[in-house]
Amino acid sequence: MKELKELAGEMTPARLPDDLWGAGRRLRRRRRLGYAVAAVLVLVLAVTLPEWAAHRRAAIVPADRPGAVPSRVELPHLWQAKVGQWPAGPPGPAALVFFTSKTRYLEGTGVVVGAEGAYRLIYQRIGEGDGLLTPDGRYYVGPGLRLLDLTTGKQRQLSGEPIWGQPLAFSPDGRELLIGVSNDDHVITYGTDNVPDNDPAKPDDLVAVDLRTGAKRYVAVGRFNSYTAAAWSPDGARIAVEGSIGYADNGRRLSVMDARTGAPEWTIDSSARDRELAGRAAWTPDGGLLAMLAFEGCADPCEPERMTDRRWRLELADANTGNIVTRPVPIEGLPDEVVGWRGGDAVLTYSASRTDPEHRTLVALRPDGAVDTLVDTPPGVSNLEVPEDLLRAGSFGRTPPEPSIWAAPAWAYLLVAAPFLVLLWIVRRRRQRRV
Amino acid sequence: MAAEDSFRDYVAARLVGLSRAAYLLTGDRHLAEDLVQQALVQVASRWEKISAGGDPDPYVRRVLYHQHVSWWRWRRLVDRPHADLPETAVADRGRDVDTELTVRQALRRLTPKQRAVLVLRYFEDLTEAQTAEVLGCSVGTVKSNTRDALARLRTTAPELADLREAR
Repeated sequence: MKELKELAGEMTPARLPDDLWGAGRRLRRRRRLGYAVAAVLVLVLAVTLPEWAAHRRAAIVPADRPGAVPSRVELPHLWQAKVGQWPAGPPGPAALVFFTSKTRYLEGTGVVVGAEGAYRLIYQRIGEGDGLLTPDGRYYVGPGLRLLDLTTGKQRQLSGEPIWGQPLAFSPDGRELLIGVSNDDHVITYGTDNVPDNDPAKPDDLVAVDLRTGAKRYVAVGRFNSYTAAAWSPDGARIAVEGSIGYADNGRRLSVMDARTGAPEWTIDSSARDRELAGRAAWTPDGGLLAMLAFEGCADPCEPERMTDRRWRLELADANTGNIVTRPVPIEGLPDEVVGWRGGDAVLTYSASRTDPEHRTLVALRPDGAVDTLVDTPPGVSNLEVPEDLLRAGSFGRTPPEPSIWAAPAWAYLLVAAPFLVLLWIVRRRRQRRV
Repeated sequence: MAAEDSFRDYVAARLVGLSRAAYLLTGDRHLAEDLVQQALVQVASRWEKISAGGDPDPYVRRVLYHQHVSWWRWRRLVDRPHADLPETAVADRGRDVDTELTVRQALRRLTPKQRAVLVLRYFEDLTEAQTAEVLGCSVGTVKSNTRDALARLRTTAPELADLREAR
């Protein structure tokens, strides 16, 4: 103890700055400012955390929850996180996905809207086609059969090697996906109209891929130049397929075949291009009829601006013969594809405005031609997809969710925090120098 | 202005004691000054509240010792070289230079908390309970820190008989 006191006696009184009191006052002001900022932060967090928690809960809510499909979607924020990007997390099973180039990538981008309203992006490479949602809304199937799990954010290749081609339709049980696999060379062949054609010497194959195992099953080999549409009958026994045939793709073939063996039941070849299979949900729910989309107006070749002048109608053909058996339903706008049925109404992706064909919506078409808008989108949305289970049994008209500003990748948070961190660092340095 | 005046009076009265305690805690004259200045700025920022509570010493002590054991100060202690004391100061007072060097070096080998416990107990003459209150820990922690600090001193500086006996 004596040594301690002797050692302490060597210390002369500390020199103090003249404005010690002033430094204390400044510290007090900074502390009060800090308290105020902290209070504001707590308030902001208190308001936003419940919303954030709702996004996190989305992963455990089933996609077929009633009311899961919103009546309208919004464009995502520029900083919106991709599916599975930390710390935003996955969106959960999809209520829908839409495609737009109005994102930070300035190219076609998928935007998933989860069943609980979380918005996440799906990056698409330049020129990459749009993918499909599995009927349960859990997976996004991208080109080459990349399966993106929307409940975990993990992506995997379905089969050992990518299968390149046009994904056409899921089987009614959701286990198989029909794909038109291209066999063309990578050299573009031009027809007489100077438009690139599928090489008729190398017809495409129709393949069913098992989504659990990735196993490929050839349904039809070498019957079409390429496949443009396919629809599975509700019982899963038959497939209606449409595609191009002949030199320069100048013919069109519609065929109904056995889903297992590929044996054709009937086939109609035509050179007319004013009628086409309505899409992946062309079969009516009872399996007796096939929906066709037909038009009056400029047929191929046709200037793009005149294509919007076409007058469209929905027709129903006998599934056993292909003959049109009902009165046509007039369609006021521009239909894209029949994607489902609800209570006897065909559900279509559709552009209501002829002057703005890029404004894509989802509508139910009544037998008298009136349309009920199920999902509306902002300008710039080129395509949208709703999982088949929701189309069949889900509810529509949910309050439109807003994309959360907090569902951002880590770099966005760092970008925002960086100026504050630099400021903090400068202030600390100045304080250290002063003391 | 009354608050500022009373603060100045308090600093004038306690500066020597605070400076010496800080010196024992840091083992470095400059760091001790730094520690005292920062502690007093903290005290000045809350002076009205502190002085209204009566004796400011307990609060001031808490600030000083907490600043010392905080990670920030600890890091700076480690990072900065320890200045040796000027020999003239030692020679003028005619003390045993070897013993003081030994004390200083022995203190440096203690953790900040062990050093704080020793200074509070044997320089400021506080009880274990008062020491625990200043450091914001239990009496048991004070005891164990004291025991560990003395054990280390016994190893590193066996000639410090007084400290050993003080146990």
